[in-house]
Amino acid sequence: MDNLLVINQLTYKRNMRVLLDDVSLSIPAGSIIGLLGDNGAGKTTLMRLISGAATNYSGSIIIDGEVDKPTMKGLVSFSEQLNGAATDAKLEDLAKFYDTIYPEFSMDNFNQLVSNFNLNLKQKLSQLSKGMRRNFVISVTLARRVKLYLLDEPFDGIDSMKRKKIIENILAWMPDDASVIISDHHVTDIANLLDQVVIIKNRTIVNQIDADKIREEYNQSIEEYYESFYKEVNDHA
Amino acid sequence: MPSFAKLTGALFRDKVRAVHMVVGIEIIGIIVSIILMFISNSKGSMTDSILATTLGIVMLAAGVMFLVLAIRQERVWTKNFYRLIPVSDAKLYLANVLSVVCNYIYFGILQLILLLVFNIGSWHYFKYMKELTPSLYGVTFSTLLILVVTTLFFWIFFSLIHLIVEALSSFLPTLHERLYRIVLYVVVFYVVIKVISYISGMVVKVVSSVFSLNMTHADAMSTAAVSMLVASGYMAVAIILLSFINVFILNKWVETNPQSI
Repeated sequence: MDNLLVINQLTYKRNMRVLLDDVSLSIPAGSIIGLLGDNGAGKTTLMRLISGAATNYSGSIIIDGEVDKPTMKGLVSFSEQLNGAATDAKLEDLAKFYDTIYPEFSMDNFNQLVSNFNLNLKQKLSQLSKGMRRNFVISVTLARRVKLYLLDEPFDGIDSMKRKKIIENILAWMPDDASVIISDHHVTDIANLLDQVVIIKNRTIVNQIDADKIREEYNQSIEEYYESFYKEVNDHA
Repeated sequence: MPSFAKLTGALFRDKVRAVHMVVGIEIIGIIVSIILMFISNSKGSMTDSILATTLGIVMLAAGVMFLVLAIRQERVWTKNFYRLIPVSDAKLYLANVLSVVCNYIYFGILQLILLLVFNIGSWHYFKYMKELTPSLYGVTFSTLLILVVTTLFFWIFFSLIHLIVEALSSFLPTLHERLYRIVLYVVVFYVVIKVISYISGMVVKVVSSVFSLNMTHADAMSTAAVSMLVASGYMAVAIILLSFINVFILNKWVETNPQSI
């Protein structure tokens, strides 16, 4: 399988601190990757770098063979993309903004997703509860037909039923050749989705492994594997 | 990738809500002021009082709008919603600045409409426009141009300050980031005051040269108009130079803030 995302020796420093150190990673096309790690391990920072939100790094990031930053941004849909949108804007206005700016934004798909989540487009962003806001974020993120989706803690503050609905929508709306990187604390929720697991610890990637290998060879659930790995990295290195 | 026209249009519409909000508050302010004027039943010409009041409110609103648009312009440099748009930083910069300028022009048109609507009783002043000489039209045009260029200069200058502080902050430890930012803003504020003094000195020089002239002398008026055009030209060059610096800093060192929505 061809690699959609290739990261080589990526190091990122900010505010006199190393936030990511010598990260190398390859993500195959058409796969769902669980990016697992503790708080502060570097999951969000890695996603920010891939999305193009943070640019002052050393090393290289290549998405679908592209290194041109504007082109790369067009290939990625990041769940933190709504950060900075005017909170007094109606949801329909934000959708129109997306429709104008992103050629690959599908208004039909968006309307379907919004309908699945029972969102009212006449509402303002500031009027949404945390859960509804998450649903809206997922809707605009998945309505873009891109190669790579970055979902950073998509279930944060969401109850169990809604988590299932979000997962159903991710699976239903993701293009076949696209890859998804999901970071989450609730490993159990996403375990069955995953093709691969990437474990990040102390600001670097310490393991990348097929989900089937964990289940079949190690005879462990992904959650057990992740937790044990996090306790004693050397057992699996 | 979106075209420049589409991007500018989207950024224009993104900011136009702020224009409508300021104009809405302004209309309420004008109506309340007129009602209060009628209630107090003050002596003197009511039409002149309304003209003076609306002019005052319009000028205040213009100041507020200038600041609101400056804030909306600055948001674009540090928020994912804008910075993740798949365009080059230069294209985003130009589209953002142009959308701010277009919004201010739109706001200006709304102000003219408001002045005309709320001052129907003062329309007789238009008859004096026939007496304006071509040279006075020239001065009026030059004055408007220098106002527009100066406004744009300040927006670009605010961006420069903001981008410098953002860029420097990323190299400073988070522990004292707030403190460093305050110090940086104080230092930059000092520089701004110095620059403002310099520019106001230049503008006062030009304006005083206008007032020292014999207003009925057509050649003298032309000279004043040319002086203001030259000053506008200098400002335009400064705007272009600062914009190059802004795009460079934006591209090299300014990243988005990591907070979620």
